Amino acid sequence: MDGAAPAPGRRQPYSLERRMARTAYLFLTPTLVYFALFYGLPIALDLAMGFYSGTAFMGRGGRFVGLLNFKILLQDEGALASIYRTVAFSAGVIAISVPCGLGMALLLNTEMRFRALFRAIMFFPYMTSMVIVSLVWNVLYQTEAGLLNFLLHLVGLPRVGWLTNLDLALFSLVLMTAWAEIGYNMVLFLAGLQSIPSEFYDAAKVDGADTWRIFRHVTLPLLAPTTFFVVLMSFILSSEAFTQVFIMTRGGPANATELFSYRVWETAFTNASFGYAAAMAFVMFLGLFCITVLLFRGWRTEVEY
Amino acid sequence: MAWKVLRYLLVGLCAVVMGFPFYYMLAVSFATDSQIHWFPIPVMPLQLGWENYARIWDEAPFGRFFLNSLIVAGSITLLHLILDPLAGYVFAKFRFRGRDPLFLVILGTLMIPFFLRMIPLYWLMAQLGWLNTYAGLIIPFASSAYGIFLMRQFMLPFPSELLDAGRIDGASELHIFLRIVIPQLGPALAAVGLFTFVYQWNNFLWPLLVTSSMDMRTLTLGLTFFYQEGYTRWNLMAAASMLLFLPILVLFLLAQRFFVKGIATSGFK
Repeated sequence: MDGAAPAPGRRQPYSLERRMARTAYLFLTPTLVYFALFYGLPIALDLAMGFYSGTAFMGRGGRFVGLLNFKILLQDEGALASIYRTVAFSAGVIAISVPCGLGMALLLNTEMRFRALFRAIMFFPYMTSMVIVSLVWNVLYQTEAGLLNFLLHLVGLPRVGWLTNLDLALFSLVLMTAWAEIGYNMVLFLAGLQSIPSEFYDAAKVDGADTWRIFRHVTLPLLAPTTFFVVLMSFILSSEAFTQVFIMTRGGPANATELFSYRVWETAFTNASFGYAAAMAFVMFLGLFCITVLLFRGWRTEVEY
Repeated sequence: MAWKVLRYLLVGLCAVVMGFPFYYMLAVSFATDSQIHWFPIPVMPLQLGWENYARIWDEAPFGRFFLNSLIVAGSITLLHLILDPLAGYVFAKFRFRGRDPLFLVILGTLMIPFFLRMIPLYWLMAQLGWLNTYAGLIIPFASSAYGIFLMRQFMLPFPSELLDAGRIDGASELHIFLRIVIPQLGPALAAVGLFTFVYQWNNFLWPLLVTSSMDMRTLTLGLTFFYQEGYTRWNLMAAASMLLFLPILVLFLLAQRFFVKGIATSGFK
Protein backbone atom coordinates (compact mmCIF):
# COMPACT_ATOMS: atom_id res chain seq x y z
CA MET A 1 0.00 0.00 0.00
CA ASP A 2 2.93 2.37 0.46
CA GLY A 3 4.29 4.36 -2.44
CA ALA A 4 4.66 1.40 -4.77
CA ALA A 5 5.52 2.32 -8.34
CA PRO A 6 2.53 2.32 -10.71
CA ALA A 7 2.06 -0.91 -12.59
CA PRO A 8 3.66 -0.72 -16.03
CA GLY A 9 1.27 0.15 -18.79
CA ARG A 10 -1.21 1.76 -16.45
CA ARG A 11 -2.43 5.02 -17.97
CA GLN A 12 -3.34 6.95 -14.90
CA PRO A 13 -0.36 7.88 -12.76
CA TYR A 14 -0.47 6.72 -9.17
CA SER A 15 -1.75 9.89 -7.63
CA LEU A 16 -1.63 10.90 -4.01
CA GLU A 17 -5.37 11.24 -4.08
CA ARG A 18 -5.84 7.59 -5.00
CA ARG A 19 -3.34 6.42 -2.46
CA MET A 20 -5.22 8.41 0.20
CA ALA A 21 -8.57 6.97 -0.77
CA ARG A 22 -7.19 3.43 -0.75
CA THR A 23 -5.61 3.93 2.64
CA ALA A 24 -8.81 5.42 3.98
CA TYR A 25 -10.88 2.42 2.96
CA LEU A 26 -8.24 0.01 4.21
CA PHE A 27 -8.01 1.66 7.63
CA LEU A 28 -11.78 1.90 7.88
CA THR A 29 -12.60 -1.66 6.90
CA PRO A 30 -12.43 -3.24 10.37
CA THR A 31 -14.55 -0.45 11.83
CA LEU A 32 -17.13 -0.65 9.06
CA VAL A 33 -17.34 -4.44 9.38
CA TYR A 34 -17.82 -4.04 13.11
CA PHE A 35 -20.62 -1.49 12.78
CA ALA A 36 -22.31 -3.47 10.03
CA LEU A 37 -22.23 -6.73 11.98
CA PHE A 38 -22.95 -5.48 15.50
CA TYR A 39 -25.15 -2.46 14.82
CA GLY A 40 -26.59 -2.68 11.31
CA LEU A 41 -27.40 -6.36 11.30
CA PRO A 42 -28.94 -6.47 14.80
CA ILE A 43 -31.11 -3.44 14.06
CA ALA A 44 -32.40 -5.03 10.86
CA LEU A 45 -32.84 -8.36 12.64
CA ASP A 46 -34.77 -6.74 15.46
CA LEU A 47 -37.31 -5.33 13.08
CA ALA A 48 -37.51 -8.68 11.27
CA MET A 49 -37.92 -10.57 14.55
CA GLY A 50 -40.74 -8.25 15.51
CA PHE A 51 -42.78 -9.75 12.69
CA TYR A 52 -42.45 -13.28 14.00
CA SER A 53 -44.28 -15.01 16.81
CA GLY A 54 -43.07 -17.32 19.53
CA THR A 55 -39.62 -18.28 20.69
CA ALA A 56 -38.13 -19.49 17.44
CA PHE A 57 -37.04 -17.19 14.68
CA MET A 58 -37.07 -17.29 10.89
CA GLY A 59 -38.09 -20.64 9.62
CA ARG A 60 -37.37 -22.58 12.78
CA GLY A 61 -40.89 -22.94 14.04
CA GLY A 62 -41.46 -19.19 14.29
CA ARG A 63 -44.51 -18.02 12.42
CA PHE A 64 -44.62 -14.83 10.38
CA VAL A 65 -47.40 -12.77 11.95
CA GLY A 66 -46.97 -9.39 10.28
CA LEU A 67 -47.81 -6.48 12.53
CA LEU A 68 -49.56 -8.64 15.11
CA ASN A 69 -46.89 -8.14 17.79
CA PHE A 70 -47.22 -4.36 17.45
CA LYS A 71 -51.01 -4.59 17.58
CA ILE A 72 -50.85 -6.70 20.72
CA LEU A 73 -48.46 -4.23 22.29
CA LEU A 74 -50.93 -1.38 21.77
CA GLN A 75 -53.48 -3.31 23.85
CA ASP A 76 -51.06 -4.78 26.36
CA GLU A 77 -52.02 -2.89 29.51
CA GLY A 78 -49.02 -4.15 31.45
CA ALA A 79 -46.63 -2.94 28.78
CA LEU A 80 -48.35 0.44 28.42
CA ALA A 81 -48.25 0.89 32.19
CA SER A 82 -44.53 0.16 32.16
CA ILE A 83 -44.00 2.77 29.43
CA TYR A 84 -45.82 5.33 31.55
CA ARG A 85 -43.76 4.24 34.56
CA THR A 86 -40.51 4.66 32.59
CA VAL A 87 -41.46 8.19 31.55
CA ALA A 88 -42.28 9.06 35.15
CA PHE A 89 -39.02 7.48 36.29
CA SER A 90 -36.96 9.44 33.74
CA ALA A 91 -38.73 12.68 34.55
CA GLY A 92 -38.07 12.10 38.25
CA VAL A 93 -34.40 11.36 37.71
CA ILE A 94 -34.00 14.47 35.53
CA ALA A 95 -35.93 16.65 37.99
CA ILE A 96 -33.50 15.70 40.76
CA SER A 97 -30.16 15.13 39.07
CA VAL A 98 -30.11 18.13 36.71
CA PRO A 99 -30.76 20.91 39.28
CA CYS A 100 -28.52 19.18 41.83
CA GLY A 101 -25.77 18.77 39.24
CA LEU A 102 -26.06 22.45 38.33
CA GLY A 103 -26.06 23.46 41.99
CA MET A 104 -22.92 21.49 42.72
CA ALA A 105 -21.24 22.87 39.60
CA LEU A 106 -22.03 26.44 40.72
CA LEU A 107 -20.66 25.69 44.19
CA LEU A 108 -17.43 24.32 42.76
CA ASN A 109 -17.06 26.75 39.86
CA THR A 110 -14.67 29.18 41.53
CA GLU A 111 -11.43 28.50 43.37
CA MET A 112 -11.65 27.05 46.85
CA ARG A 113 -9.68 24.72 49.09
CA PHE A 114 -9.90 21.00 48.29
CA ARG A 115 -11.89 21.78 45.16
CA ALA A 116 -10.40 18.88 43.19
CA LEU A 117 -11.08 16.50 46.06
CA PHE A 118 -14.71 17.58 46.38
CA ARG A 119 -15.19 17.30 42.64
CA ALA A 120 -13.73 13.80 42.71
CA ILE A 121 -16.01 12.71 45.56
CA MET A 122 -19.11 14.04 43.81
CA PHE A 123 -18.17 12.54 40.49
CA PHE A 124 -17.15 9.15 41.79
CA PRO A 125 -20.60 7.52 42.09
CA TYR A 126 -20.92 7.82 38.34
CA MET A 127 -17.72 5.81 37.86
CA THR A 128 -18.96 3.06 40.12
CA SER A 129 -20.80 0.06 38.79
CA MET A 130 -24.58 0.32 39.06
CA VAL A 131 -24.32 -3.13 40.64
CA ILE A 132 -22.43 -1.68 43.61
CA VAL A 133 -24.67 1.37 43.78
CA SER A 134 -27.69 -0.93 43.85
CA LEU A 135 -26.23 -3.15 46.56
CA VAL A 136 -25.28 -0.22 48.79
CA TRP A 137 -28.62 1.50 48.42
CA ASN A 138 -30.29 -1.82 49.03
CA VAL A 139 -28.59 -1.90 52.43
CA LEU A 140 -29.62 1.70 53.11
CA TYR A 141 -33.22 1.03 52.05
CA GLN A 142 -33.77 -2.14 54.12
CA THR A 143 -37.03 -1.92 56.01
CA GLU A 144 -35.94 -3.70 59.21
CA ALA A 145 -32.24 -2.88 59.46
CA GLY A 146 -31.71 -0.03 56.99
CA LEU A 147 -29.93 3.15 57.88
CA LEU A 148 -32.53 5.43 56.30
CA ASN A 149 -35.22 3.98 58.50
CA PHE A 150 -32.88 4.38 61.46
CA LEU A 151 -32.63 8.09 60.65
CA LEU A 152 -36.44 8.26 60.54
CA HIS A 153 -36.48 6.38 63.84
CA LEU A 154 -34.14 8.95 65.38
CA VAL A 155 -36.61 11.74 64.66
CA GLY A 156 -39.48 9.61 65.92
CA LEU A 157 -40.99 8.49 62.62
CA PRO A 158 -42.10 4.93 61.88
CA ARG A 159 -40.27 2.61 59.49
CA VAL A 160 -40.95 2.99 55.79
CA GLY A 161 -40.86 0.20 53.21
CA TRP A 162 -38.56 2.01 50.78
CA LEU A 163 -38.53 -0.86 48.32
CA THR A 164 -41.64 -2.72 49.43
CA ASN A 165 -44.22 0.04 49.59
CA LEU A 166 -46.24 0.21 46.37
CA ASP A 167 -46.29 3.99 46.27
CA LEU A 168 -42.72 4.54 47.35
CA ALA A 169 -40.63 1.88 45.56
CA LEU A 170 -40.39 3.71 42.23
CA PHE A 171 -39.41 6.93 43.96
CA SER A 172 -36.70 5.06 45.86
CA LEU A 173 -35.26 3.90 42.54
CA VAL A 174 -35.49 7.44 41.16
CA LEU A 175 -33.58 8.75 44.16
CA MET A 176 -30.67 6.32 43.93
CA THR A 177 -30.45 6.62 40.15
CA ALA A 178 -30.38 10.41 40.37
CA TRP A 179 -27.71 10.14 43.07
CA ALA A 180 -25.59 8.05 40.73
CA GLU A 181 -25.95 10.51 37.83
CA ILE A 182 -25.46 13.84 39.62
CA GLY A 183 -21.67 13.77 39.30
CA TYR A 184 -21.83 13.30 35.56
CA ASN A 185 -24.19 16.26 35.19
CA MET A 186 -22.01 18.33 37.49
CA VAL A 187 -18.91 17.75 35.35
CA LEU A 188 -20.80 18.74 32.20
CA PHE A 189 -22.17 21.87 33.88
CA LEU A 190 -18.71 22.78 35.17
CA ALA A 191 -17.35 22.58 31.63
CA GLY A 192 -20.26 24.73 30.42
CA LEU A 193 -19.69 27.32 33.14
CA GLN A 194 -15.99 27.54 32.33
CA SER A 195 -16.81 28.28 28.71
CA ILE A 196 -18.83 31.42 29.51
CA PRO A 197 -16.58 34.42 28.79
CA SER A 198 -15.97 36.54 31.88
CA GLU A 199 -16.82 39.74 29.96
CA PHE A 200 -20.50 38.86 30.33
CA TYR A 201 -20.20 38.82 34.11
CA ASP A 202 -18.14 42.01 34.12
CA ALA A 203 -20.73 43.79 32.01
CA ALA A 204 -23.55 42.61 34.26
CA LYS A 205 -21.67 43.78 37.36
CA VAL A 206 -21.04 47.19 35.82
CA ASP A 207 -24.77 47.42 35.23
CA GLY A 208 -25.25 46.72 38.93
CA ALA A 209 -26.90 43.32 38.69
CA ASP A 210 -26.99 41.23 41.88
CA THR A 211 -25.98 37.56 42.12
CA TRP A 212 -29.45 36.21 41.47
CA ARG A 213 -29.99 38.44 38.44
CA ILE A 214 -26.62 37.50 37.02
CA PHE A 215 -27.49 33.84 37.43
CA ARG A 216 -30.98 34.26 35.97
CA HIS A 217 -30.12 36.54 33.05
CA VAL A 218 -26.49 35.72 32.23
CA THR A 219 -25.48 32.28 33.46
CA LEU A 220 -28.67 30.38 32.80
CA PRO A 221 -29.25 31.58 29.20
CA LEU A 222 -25.60 31.11 28.26
CA LEU A 223 -25.64 27.66 29.82
CA ALA A 224 -28.69 26.59 27.81
CA PRO A 225 -26.80 24.42 25.30
CA THR A 226 -25.15 22.53 28.16
CA THR A 227 -28.45 22.18 29.98
CA PHE A 228 -30.01 20.76 26.86
CA PHE A 229 -27.25 18.22 26.48
CA VAL A 230 -27.41 17.24 30.15
CA VAL A 231 -31.17 16.74 30.02
CA LEU A 232 -30.86 14.68 26.84
CA MET A 233 -28.14 12.42 28.24
CA SER A 234 -29.94 12.07 31.54
CA PHE A 235 -33.07 11.09 29.68
CA ILE A 236 -31.31 8.49 27.52
CA LEU A 237 -29.44 7.02 30.49
CA SER A 238 -32.45 6.73 32.76
CA SER A 239 -34.77 5.35 30.10
CA GLU A 240 -32.39 2.40 29.74
CA ALA A 241 -32.08 1.78 33.47
CA PHE A 242 -32.06 -1.94 34.10
CA THR A 243 -29.46 -3.08 36.63
CA GLN A 244 -31.01 -1.36 39.63
CA VAL A 245 -34.42 -2.88 38.89
CA PHE A 246 -32.91 -6.32 38.37
CA ILE A 247 -30.91 -6.23 41.59
CA MET A 248 -33.14 -4.27 43.94
CA THR A 249 -36.75 -5.06 43.13
CA ARG A 250 -37.11 -7.42 40.16
CA GLY A 251 -39.89 -5.10 39.06
CA GLY A 252 -41.85 -5.51 42.29
CA PRO A 253 -43.72 -4.97 44.47
CA ALA A 254 -46.61 -5.88 42.16
CA ASN A 255 -44.92 -4.40 39.07
CA ALA A 256 -44.57 -1.02 40.79
CA THR A 257 -40.96 -0.66 39.58
CA GLU A 258 -41.18 -2.63 36.36
CA LEU A 259 -39.56 -0.26 33.87
CA PHE A 260 -40.01 -0.88 30.15
CA SER A 261 -36.38 -1.96 29.71
CA TYR A 262 -36.83 -4.57 32.42
CA ARG A 263 -40.04 -5.75 30.82
CA VAL A 264 -38.29 -6.17 27.45
CA TRP A 265 -35.60 -8.27 29.12
CA GLU A 266 -38.19 -10.30 30.99
CA THR A 267 -40.27 -10.92 27.86
CA ALA A 268 -37.25 -12.10 25.91
CA PHE A 269 -35.20 -14.00 28.44
CA THR A 270 -37.68 -15.19 31.05
CA ASN A 271 -40.80 -15.72 28.95
CA ALA A 272 -38.76 -16.54 25.82
CA SER A 273 -41.03 -14.46 23.53
CA PHE A 274 -38.28 -13.16 21.31
CA GLY A 275 -40.60 -11.83 18.62
CA TYR A 276 -42.76 -9.84 20.98
CA ALA A 277 -39.75 -8.56 22.92
CA ALA A 278 -38.09 -7.47 19.67
CA ALA A 279 -41.22 -5.53 18.76
CA MET A 280 -41.17 -3.91 22.22
CA ALA A 281 -37.51 -2.96 21.81
CA PHE A 282 -38.27 -1.38 18.46
CA VAL A 283 -41.08 0.68 19.97
CA MET A 284 -38.71 1.72 22.73
CA PHE A 285 -36.24 2.93 20.11
CA LEU A 286 -38.97 4.84 18.26
CA GLY A 287 -40.10 6.48 21.48
CA LEU A 288 -36.58 7.52 22.43
CA PHE A 289 -35.94 8.78 18.93
CA CYS A 290 -39.11 10.89 18.81
CA ILE A 291 -38.51 12.42 22.23
CA THR A 292 -34.91 13.23 21.30
CA VAL A 293 -36.03 14.94 18.09
CA LEU A 294 -38.72 16.85 19.99
CA LEU A 295 -36.18 17.95 22.58
CA PHE A 296 -33.88 19.13 19.82
CA ARG A 297 -36.68 21.06 18.10
CA GLY A 298 -37.97 22.61 21.28
CA TRP A 299 -34.58 23.68 22.49
CA ARG A 300 -33.18 24.98 19.27
CA THR A 301 -35.57 27.90 19.41
CA GLU A 302 -34.75 28.47 23.09
CA VAL A 303 -31.03 28.09 22.83
CA GLU A 304 -30.32 30.70 20.21
CA TYR A 305 -28.91 33.90 21.57
CA MET B 1 -17.48 35.90 54.65
CA ALA B 2 -20.85 34.44 55.54
CA TRP B 3 -21.19 33.29 51.98
CA LYS B 4 -17.76 31.64 52.16
CA VAL B 5 -18.71 29.65 55.25
CA LEU B 6 -22.06 28.74 53.78
CA ARG B 7 -20.36 27.59 50.61
CA TYR B 8 -18.03 25.26 52.49
CA LEU B 9 -20.96 23.93 54.50
CA LEU B 10 -22.97 23.21 51.38
CA VAL B 11 -20.06 21.61 49.56
CA GLY B 12 -19.31 19.53 52.65
CA LEU B 13 -22.92 18.40 52.87
CA CYS B 14 -22.89 17.37 49.21
CA ALA B 15 -19.64 15.49 49.71
CA VAL B 16 -21.15 13.59 52.64
CA VAL B 17 -24.27 12.68 50.68
CA MET B 18 -22.22 11.52 47.69
CA GLY B 19 -19.43 9.85 49.62
CA PHE B 20 -21.14 8.31 52.62
CA PRO B 21 -22.67 5.28 50.86
CA PHE B 22 -19.17 4.16 49.87
CA TYR B 23 -17.91 4.55 53.41
CA TYR B 24 -20.91 2.61 54.68
CA MET B 25 -20.18 -0.21 52.27
CA LEU B 26 -16.70 -0.44 53.79
CA ALA B 27 -18.16 -0.41 57.30
CA VAL B 28 -20.65 -3.15 56.44
CA SER B 29 -17.86 -5.28 55.01
CA PHE B 30 -16.41 -5.52 58.55
CA ALA B 31 -19.71 -6.43 60.22
CA THR B 32 -20.10 -9.88 61.74
CA ASP B 33 -22.87 -12.26 60.76
CA SER B 34 -24.97 -11.20 63.72
CA GLN B 35 -24.32 -7.48 63.30
CA ILE B 36 -25.91 -7.48 59.86
CA HIS B 37 -29.25 -7.96 61.60
CA TRP B 38 -28.75 -4.97 63.89
CA PHE B 39 -30.75 -1.81 63.48
CA PRO B 40 -28.85 -0.30 61.80
CA ILE B 41 -25.80 -2.29 60.70
CA PRO B 42 -23.03 -0.49 62.68
CA VAL B 43 -21.88 2.71 61.00
CA MET B 44 -18.65 2.55 62.99
CA PRO B 45 -17.29 -0.98 62.63
CA LEU B 46 -16.94 -2.58 66.07
CA GLN B 47 -13.97 -4.64 64.89
CA LEU B 48 -11.60 -4.43 61.95
CA GLY B 49 -11.14 -8.04 60.93
CA TRP B 50 -10.44 -9.46 57.54
CA GLU B 51 -12.54 -12.62 58.06
CA ASN B 52 -15.21 -11.56 55.60
CA TYR B 53 -12.61 -10.84 52.96
CA ALA B 54 -11.13 -14.29 53.52
CA ARG B 55 -14.51 -16.01 53.51
CA ILE B 56 -15.75 -14.77 50.13
CA TRP B 57 -13.19 -16.90 48.28
CA ASP B 58 -14.79 -20.05 49.73
CA GLU B 59 -18.28 -18.97 48.73
CA ALA B 60 -17.67 -18.51 45.02
CA PRO B 61 -14.67 -18.48 42.65
CA PHE B 62 -14.07 -14.75 42.96
CA GLY B 63 -10.53 -15.07 41.66
CA ARG B 64 -11.93 -16.45 38.44
CA PHE B 65 -14.63 -13.75 38.29
CA PHE B 66 -11.96 -11.10 38.76
CA LEU B 67 -9.79 -12.61 36.05
CA ASN B 68 -12.73 -12.82 33.65
CA SER B 69 -13.62 -9.15 34.23
CA LEU B 70 -10.01 -8.24 33.62
CA ILE B 71 -9.80 -10.27 30.41
CA VAL B 72 -13.07 -8.96 29.03
CA ALA B 73 -12.66 -5.28 29.95
CA GLY B 74 -8.98 -5.36 29.00
CA SER B 75 -9.55 -6.94 25.58
CA ILE B 76 -12.38 -4.57 24.73
CA THR B 77 -10.22 -1.60 25.72
CA LEU B 78 -7.37 -2.87 23.56
CA LEU B 79 -9.69 -3.26 20.57
CA HIS B 80 -10.96 0.29 21.07
CA LEU B 81 -7.43 1.61 21.20
CA ILE B 82 -6.74 0.02 17.82
CA LEU B 83 -9.99 0.63 15.94
CA ASP B 84 -11.02 4.07 17.24
CA PRO B 85 -7.85 6.01 16.38
CA LEU B 86 -7.68 4.37 12.94
CA ALA B 87 -11.22 5.42 12.11
CA GLY B 88 -11.00 8.82 13.82
CA TYR B 89 -7.81 9.65 11.93
CA VAL B 90 -9.32 8.64 8.60
CA PHE B 91 -12.47 10.69 9.19
CA ALA B 92 -10.40 13.72 10.20
CA LYS B 93 -7.64 13.72 7.60
CA PHE B 94 -8.72 11.84 4.47
CA ARG B 95 -10.90 12.87 1.57
CA PHE B 96 -12.77 10.06 -0.09
CA ARG B 97 -16.17 9.31 -1.47
CA GLY B 98 -18.75 8.52 1.18
CA ARG B 99 -16.77 9.95 4.07
CA ASP B 100 -19.39 12.27 5.51
CA PRO B 101 -22.36 9.92 5.17
CA LEU B 102 -20.34 7.10 6.75
CA PHE B 103 -19.34 9.32 9.65
CA LEU B 104 -22.94 10.41 10.14
CA VAL B 105 -24.13 6.81 10.16
CA ILE B 106 -21.55 5.91 12.80
CA LEU B 107 -22.51 8.95 14.89
CA GLY B 108 -26.14 7.92 14.44
CA THR B 109 -25.47 4.69 16.34
CA LEU B 110 -25.31 6.84 19.47
CA MET B 111 -29.09 7.08 19.14
CA ILE B 112 -29.51 3.31 19.29
CA PRO B 113 -30.49 2.06 22.73
CA PHE B 114 -28.74 -1.15 23.72
CA PHE B 115 -32.11 -2.81 24.16
CA LEU B 116 -32.76 -2.56 20.44
CA ARG B 117 -29.61 -4.56 19.69
CA MET B 118 -29.77 -6.86 22.68
CA ILE B 119 -32.11 -9.59 21.47
CA PRO B 120 -30.73 -9.97 17.92
CA LEU B 121 -27.17 -9.80 19.29
CA TYR B 122 -28.01 -12.64 21.63
CA TRP B 123 -29.47 -14.61 18.73
CA LEU B 124 -26.38 -13.83 16.65
CA MET B 125 -24.11 -15.08 19.44
CA ALA B 126 -26.11 -18.28 19.58
CA GLN B 127 -25.76 -18.77 15.81
CA LEU B 128 -22.01 -18.16 15.97
CA GLY B 129 -21.62 -20.53 18.91
CA TRP B 130 -20.29 -17.63 20.98
CA LEU B 131 -22.63 -17.94 23.95
CA ASN B 132 -20.66 -18.41 27.15
CA THR B 133 -17.34 -17.59 25.47
CA TYR B 134 -14.88 -14.72 25.74
CA ALA B 135 -15.52 -13.90 22.08
CA GLY B 136 -19.21 -13.41 22.84
CA LEU B 137 -18.37 -11.12 25.77
CA ILE B 138 -15.77 -9.09 23.91
CA ILE B 139 -16.38 -8.79 20.16
CA PRO B 140 -19.82 -7.06 20.22
CA PHE B 141 -18.20 -4.09 22.04
CA ALA B 142 -15.01 -3.73 19.97
CA SER B 143 -15.58 -0.12 18.95
CA SER B 144 -17.86 2.82 19.62
CA ALA B 145 -18.96 6.03 17.99
CA TYR B 146 -17.80 7.93 21.10
CA GLY B 147 -14.23 6.78 20.72
CA ILE B 148 -14.16 7.48 17.00
CA PHE B 149 -15.73 10.90 17.49
CA LEU B 150 -13.22 11.87 20.17
CA MET B 151 -10.27 10.73 18.07
CA ARG B 152 -11.55 12.67 15.09
CA GLN B 153 -12.06 15.86 17.13
CA PHE B 154 -8.57 15.51 18.49
CA MET B 155 -7.04 14.98 15.05
CA LEU B 156 -8.88 17.78 13.20
CA PRO B 157 -6.64 20.72 14.22
CA PHE B 158 -3.48 18.75 13.49
CA PRO B 159 -1.76 20.32 10.40
CA SER B 160 -2.15 18.04 7.38
CA GLU B 161 1.11 19.42 5.97
CA LEU B 162 3.04 17.39 8.51
CA LEU B 163 1.34 14.23 7.30
CA ASP B 164 2.04 15.15 3.68
CA ALA B 165 5.66 15.88 4.53
CA GLY B 166 5.91 12.31 5.77
CA ARG B 167 4.39 11.06 2.52
CA ILE B 168 6.83 13.07 0.43
CA ASP B 169 9.66 11.59 2.47
CA GLY B 170 8.38 8.21 1.36
CA ALA B 171 6.91 7.03 4.67
CA SER B 172 4.22 4.36 4.38
CA GLU B 173 0.69 5.19 5.55
CA LEU B 174 1.02 2.73 8.41
CA HIS B 175 4.29 4.37 9.42
CA ILE B 176 2.64 7.80 9.35
CA PHE B 177 -0.21 6.51 11.48
CA LEU B 178 2.02 4.86 14.06
CA ARG B 179 4.80 7.46 14.23
CA ILE B 180 3.02 10.76 13.63
CA VAL B 181 -0.67 10.30 14.39
CA ILE B 182 -0.64 8.02 17.44
CA PRO B 183 1.78 10.22 19.46
CA GLN B 184 -0.56 13.16 18.82
CA LEU B 185 -3.53 11.31 20.22
CA GLY B 186 -2.09 10.64 23.70
CA PRO B 187 -4.74 12.33 25.86
CA ALA B 188 -7.58 11.11 23.62
CA LEU B 189 -6.27 7.54 23.82
CA ALA B 190 -6.05 7.84 27.59
CA ALA B 191 -9.62 9.10 27.85
CA VAL B 192 -11.07 6.47 25.53
CA GLY B 193 -9.05 3.71 27.16
CA LEU B 194 -10.04 4.66 30.69
CA PHE B 195 -13.70 5.16 29.91
CA THR B 196 -13.99 1.97 27.93
CA PHE B 197 -12.28 -0.04 30.63
CA VAL B 198 -14.44 1.37 33.42
CA TYR B 199 -17.64 1.00 31.42
CA GLN B 200 -16.92 -2.61 30.53
CA TRP B 201 -15.57 -3.48 33.95
CA ASN B 202 -18.92 -2.30 35.33
CA ASN B 203 -21.06 -3.89 32.63
CA PHE B 204 -23.78 -6.12 33.97
CA LEU B 205 -26.53 -6.78 31.44
CA TRP B 206 -24.53 -8.35 28.61
CA PRO B 207 -22.52 -10.80 30.77
CA LEU B 208 -25.81 -11.67 32.46
CA LEU B 209 -27.22 -12.69 29.08
CA VAL B 210 -24.34 -14.52 27.42
CA THR B 211 -22.63 -16.32 30.29
CA SER B 212 -24.15 -19.46 31.76
CA SER B 213 -21.37 -21.29 33.58
CA MET B 214 -19.53 -20.32 36.77
CA ASP B 215 -16.14 -20.18 35.04
CA MET B 216 -17.30 -17.54 32.53
CA ARG B 217 -19.04 -15.22 34.99
CA THR B 218 -17.66 -11.73 35.51
CA LEU B 219 -17.31 -9.92 38.81
CA THR B 220 -20.49 -7.86 38.49
CA LEU B 221 -22.50 -11.07 38.21
CA GLY B 222 -20.54 -12.71 41.02
CA LEU B 223 -21.67 -9.99 43.42
CA THR B 224 -25.30 -10.91 43.05
CA PHE B 225 -24.30 -14.37 44.30
CA PHE B 226 -24.83 -13.28 47.93
CA TYR B 227 -28.14 -11.69 47.21
CA GLN B 228 -30.95 -13.94 48.24
CA GLU B 229 -34.46 -12.97 49.08
CA GLY B 230 -34.77 -12.60 52.82
CA TYR B 231 -31.30 -13.62 54.00
CA THR B 232 -28.77 -11.67 52.00
CA ARG B 233 -25.36 -11.73 53.69
CA TRP B 234 -24.66 -8.02 53.38
CA ASN B 235 -21.26 -8.22 55.05
CA LEU B 236 -19.90 -10.77 52.55
CA MET B 237 -21.48 -8.92 49.66
CA ALA B 238 -19.92 -5.63 50.77
CA ALA B 239 -16.53 -7.33 51.10
CA ALA B 240 -16.83 -8.86 47.64
CA SER B 241 -17.95 -5.57 46.09
CA MET B 242 -14.60 -4.09 47.16
CA LEU B 243 -13.03 -6.33 44.52
CA LEU B 244 -15.10 -4.57 41.90
CA PHE B 245 -14.80 -1.17 43.53
CA LEU B 246 -11.11 -0.78 44.41
CA PRO B 247 -9.58 -1.14 40.92
CA ILE B 248 -11.86 1.62 39.66
CA LEU B 249 -11.06 3.81 42.65
CA VAL B 250 -7.32 3.41 42.07
CA LEU B 251 -7.70 4.06 38.36
CA PHE B 252 -9.83 7.12 39.06
CA LEU B 253 -7.40 8.58 41.58
CA LEU B 254 -4.49 8.08 39.21
CA ALA B 255 -6.18 9.58 36.18
CA GLN B 256 -8.91 11.87 37.46
CA ARG B 257 -8.14 14.69 35.06
CA PHE B 258 -8.53 12.41 32.04
CA PHE B 259 -11.97 11.32 33.20
CA VAL B 260 -13.14 14.86 33.81
CA LYS B 261 -11.67 16.13 30.54
CA GLY B 262 -13.08 13.21 28.59
CA ILE B 263 -16.60 13.94 29.78
CA ALA B 264 -16.27 17.67 29.35
CA THR B 265 -15.18 17.39 25.72
CA SER B 266 -17.30 14.54 24.46
CA GLY B 267 -20.08 13.85 26.92
CA PHE B 268 -18.99 10.24 27.30
CA LYS B 269 -21.63 8.23 29.06
